[in-house]
Amino acid sequence: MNILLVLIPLSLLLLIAAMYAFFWAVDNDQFEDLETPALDVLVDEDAPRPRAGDDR
Amino acid sequence: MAERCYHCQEPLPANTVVAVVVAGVERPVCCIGCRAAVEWIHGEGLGDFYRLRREGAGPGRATAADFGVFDRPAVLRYYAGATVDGVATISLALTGLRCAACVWLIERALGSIGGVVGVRVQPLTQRLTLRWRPDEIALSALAARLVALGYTPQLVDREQLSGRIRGERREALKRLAVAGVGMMQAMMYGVALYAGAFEGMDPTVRDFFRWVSMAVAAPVIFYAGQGFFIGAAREWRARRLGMDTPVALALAFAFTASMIESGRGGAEVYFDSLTMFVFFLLLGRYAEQAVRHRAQIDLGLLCGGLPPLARRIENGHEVEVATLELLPGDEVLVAAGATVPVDGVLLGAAAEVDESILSGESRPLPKRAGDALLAGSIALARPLRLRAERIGAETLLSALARMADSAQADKPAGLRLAERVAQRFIARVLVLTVLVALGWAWYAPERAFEVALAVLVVSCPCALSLALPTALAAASQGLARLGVLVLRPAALETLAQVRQVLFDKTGTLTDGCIRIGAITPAAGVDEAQALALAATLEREASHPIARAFAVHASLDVRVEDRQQCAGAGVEARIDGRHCRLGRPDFALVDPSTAPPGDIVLSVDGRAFAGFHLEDQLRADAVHSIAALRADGLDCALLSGDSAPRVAALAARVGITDWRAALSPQAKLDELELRQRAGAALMVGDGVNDAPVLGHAAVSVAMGQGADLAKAHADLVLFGQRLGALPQSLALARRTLATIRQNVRWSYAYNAIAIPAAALGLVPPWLAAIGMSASSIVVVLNSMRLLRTISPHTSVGTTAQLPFPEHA
Repeated sequence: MNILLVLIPLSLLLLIAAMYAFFWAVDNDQFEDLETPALDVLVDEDAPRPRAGDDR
Repeated sequence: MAERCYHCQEPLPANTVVAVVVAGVERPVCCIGCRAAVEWIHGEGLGDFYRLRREGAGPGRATAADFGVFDRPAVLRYYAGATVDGVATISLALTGLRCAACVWLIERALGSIGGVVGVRVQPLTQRLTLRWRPDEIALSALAARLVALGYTPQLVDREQLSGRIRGERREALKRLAVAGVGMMQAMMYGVALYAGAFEGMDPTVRDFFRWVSMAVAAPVIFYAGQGFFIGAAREWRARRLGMDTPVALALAFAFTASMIESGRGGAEVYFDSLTMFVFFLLLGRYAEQAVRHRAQIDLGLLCGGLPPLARRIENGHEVEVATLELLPGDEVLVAAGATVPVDGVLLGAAAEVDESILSGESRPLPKRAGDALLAGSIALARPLRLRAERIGAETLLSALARMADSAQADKPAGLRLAERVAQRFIARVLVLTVLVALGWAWYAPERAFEVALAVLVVSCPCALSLALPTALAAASQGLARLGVLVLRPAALETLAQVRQVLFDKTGTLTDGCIRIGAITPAAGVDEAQALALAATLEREASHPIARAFAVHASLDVRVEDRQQCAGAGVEARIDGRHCRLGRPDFALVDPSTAPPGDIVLSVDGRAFAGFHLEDQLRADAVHSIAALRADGLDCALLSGDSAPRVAALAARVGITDWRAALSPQAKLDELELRQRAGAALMVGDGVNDAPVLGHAAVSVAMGQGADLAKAHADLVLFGQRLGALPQSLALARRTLATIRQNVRWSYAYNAIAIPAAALGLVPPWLAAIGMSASSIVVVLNSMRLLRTISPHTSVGTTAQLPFPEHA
């Protein structure tokens, strides 16, 4: 059972990394619009989204 | 089933055939505006919009409103801010956003226009952020393009509301995520602990798991659950028992107890149940917050009725500035018929104003020099000069809007009741816990602590506190899909209890586009002359009838003392002669001499011409009223229009109960009389209806009605689809039923679980499962409201009714 003493703290570290990534994503507008980006993959064209020019 | 417009998905009107050829296939559209929109969208290679979208677009409009005001230097200076390298940035509020495809379309459509640098639409706050080169393309041209596609842009103050909402939402998302992830981890360790309890576990390993659980639970309680402690502190300072106090007490008590148990190697710890408790409570608050934000944004859009520009007097000259640039003490000029932009004091001559947006009272109020004027009131008759006192967010109008915003004012009586019930419930549980602990301390002291803790955990107040917000959130979302915006969530509850539906005629059952039919001029007058004079008289009015005249050329003469008399007509002095246009008994000294027609134009009290007006029935009016009647609701028509016309229209839509020629006051009396028999839903549009909408138990304004009517309405029918009414009523009733089910379920659960826990029969793992299961049942039950909602099901349900397709 000693392996638990390594694995569980390791999982906690991973957890902290995941939360950090999520906080970063929320702060960087990744959760502002959850629907429109899903449509982009349905469109057969290569033109970049106009949004690309917007560097807010 | 009626065919629908290819662009806006409205049912096609009976007599107009407009078609557009798309990829070799002829598609029907309802109007020229929609045809232009379809042609433009396909011309730009954006035809995918029709494939991607889930809902109809707003109707395209052929005649755009004048957005010239967007190009004024004051607007660019204040709202757009400084240009950097010739690129300006502005944030506009958009109405008409329905689904993700709208966002897609707008970003593509504007992005491909030369001179536009960046387009970004935020569906959450309904904002469009536009970066463009003012030298290359005018903002008004971009605004006109948006309108042609069916979206209306509006100038908004720089981001304060939307910024706050975005911040709150981000914060809530983070807390929810921390609670969710923490809950899952704690539960994982919890399962190991339960397995250990059954199978036997080394105490060292067990204690290790407990300390790890605590490490995971601590951020959940103290970061994600922070709001409960802050709320409890606030309630404590205000000396009032709210929802947060018991929750914070239970959290603190159970966490401390579990910590002590871990330390002394005691029987049970409850970290898993605690984190789950926090997660579910946060879930309910998140849903509640989403509804509140939605209402705030919609209300902000509708009540943002203050004009963006004002005329300030600087050294004797009029200078146009942005309203928010005004300072207290500035002298401001307001044109006749314009909205007062700031709170202030009237200078100069006496005047009359209409304060109905503030008071609901549409009678003109006389004001003398030195009297207070309120922002949002309308200057009648003559221009005003005033000294500004309070500007922007400090005005009474903004304060009123904020009051309507605030959660407390917004909460349905039922929600407040449920909260009180939940509070009392929690208070009783706390007392019961103490009693149980005392009882066990006498009977079996070694188990007292453990049993008391089980009672506290198992008695889940969150099912009770989730019962309402989740159902309301689901209902608001469902209504939004139907094209109905909920301005006051409280209205949902009343909507479910409505027994009768009262309709206004013009602009509600009809499409609001009145056309001028036959003209009967008096002797010696020709039609063109009569039409031009009438158009001059109606030039700045916002009544639907005025819009019919607005398409005709008006005379280039001075119009003085213009007064709009609600329900009667309009009068003014033109070229020194007294002209009136309106009902025969208003326009003429002797109504018996009226020429044939619905409204009469008179000069100095004598008939000049009579006008026949024609209005078109909305395509789905017949179906919707049949559906409402099939639901057992009484439908009635209250109109200010003349009896023969109302009767004809009532017969066409199948309403037998109608009243005609009602003045606004008479409408109000009629409404109150009828409301004694049961709550009424009033559906209206237009300036005349504002007070009536305000007095009805529930009111619905049609999306394009005058702004005034919307400010008093509980719901707005944005889709312009009357068919959404029977569906909304059905949804409201289902919402109420769902709430009742939720509340009953949580009572039933607690009635079984609490006594069992008090008797010491519930081990911690069972408490955790029972608590989360009871919450999940409530959430899932509320989610059921979202099923089977489609904007286009209403017509199908009425197909078997004995009403002809087009009566």
